Amino acid sequence: MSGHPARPAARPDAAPLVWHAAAATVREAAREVREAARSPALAAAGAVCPAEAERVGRLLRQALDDGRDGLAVLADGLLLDAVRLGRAARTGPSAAGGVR
Amino acid sequence: MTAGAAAACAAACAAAGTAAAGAATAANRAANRAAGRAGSGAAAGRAGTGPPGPGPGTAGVPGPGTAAGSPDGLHGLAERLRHRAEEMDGCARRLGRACDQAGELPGAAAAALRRRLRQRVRATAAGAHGLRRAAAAADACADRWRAETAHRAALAAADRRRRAAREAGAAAGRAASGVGARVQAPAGTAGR
Repeated sequence: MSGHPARPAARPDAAPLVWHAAAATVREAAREVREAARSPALAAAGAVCPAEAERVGRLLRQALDDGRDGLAVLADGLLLDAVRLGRAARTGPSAAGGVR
Repeated sequence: MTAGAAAACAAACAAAGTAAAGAATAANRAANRAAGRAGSGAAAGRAGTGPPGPGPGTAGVPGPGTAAGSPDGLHGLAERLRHRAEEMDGCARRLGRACDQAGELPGAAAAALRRRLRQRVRATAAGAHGLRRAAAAADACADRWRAETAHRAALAAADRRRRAAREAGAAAGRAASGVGARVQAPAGTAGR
């Protein structure tokens, strides 16, 4: 006995948890980006250097709504993947691609 | 990441058999967040605006005495975006590892799912990259804002100096031509 707790073995149903956590992280990032886009600092910067402030706003919007890679869509997609993975882990390989 | 999300991440890592790595990552994130807050505070301190700036997740809520509507506020915003990008990078790495472990599912449908998962991993990394680009642009904007403000202040100061010198010159001219002498005549002698 080494006195240390045993390292937990990898479990096949751990992937949905990782995907859930990633979805939460991306959702938080999306919220932060939304708040940044309407922050008073950016609005005040627009009065002094409009071109630069506009570029920041455009990049923020792009990060948020860039099609499939946008944070908003990505968070939902990760959550959907978590559900798919959970279903696959519960019902076996045949259900892995059942949800479109 | 909220404390709940961080805990969920750590729990997920532990479940995946990476308890030590997960705990280290969570500790790292906490340290990064503390450093980010300290950085915001230092930025606010530079501007002489008192207490530290808002922490992560409060970009649109200026607290009392914060430098929200200033270049320092914009630098703080960029800092928070970079922090989020780091978190997303960590997520992308964990998703990649989970993808490798979930690669035992056989069949064409599972292959399609694996492809989708890989695409999400790439999208997460791309999202982090996008956040870094926005953060860099915000930093550049704040620098430009500061430079523009300094330039305008210097112009205004030069204008004030020029006007003062012009008035001083005019006063000296009046004094030399005697116009000032009449004005400065002793009291009681006016009208003689």
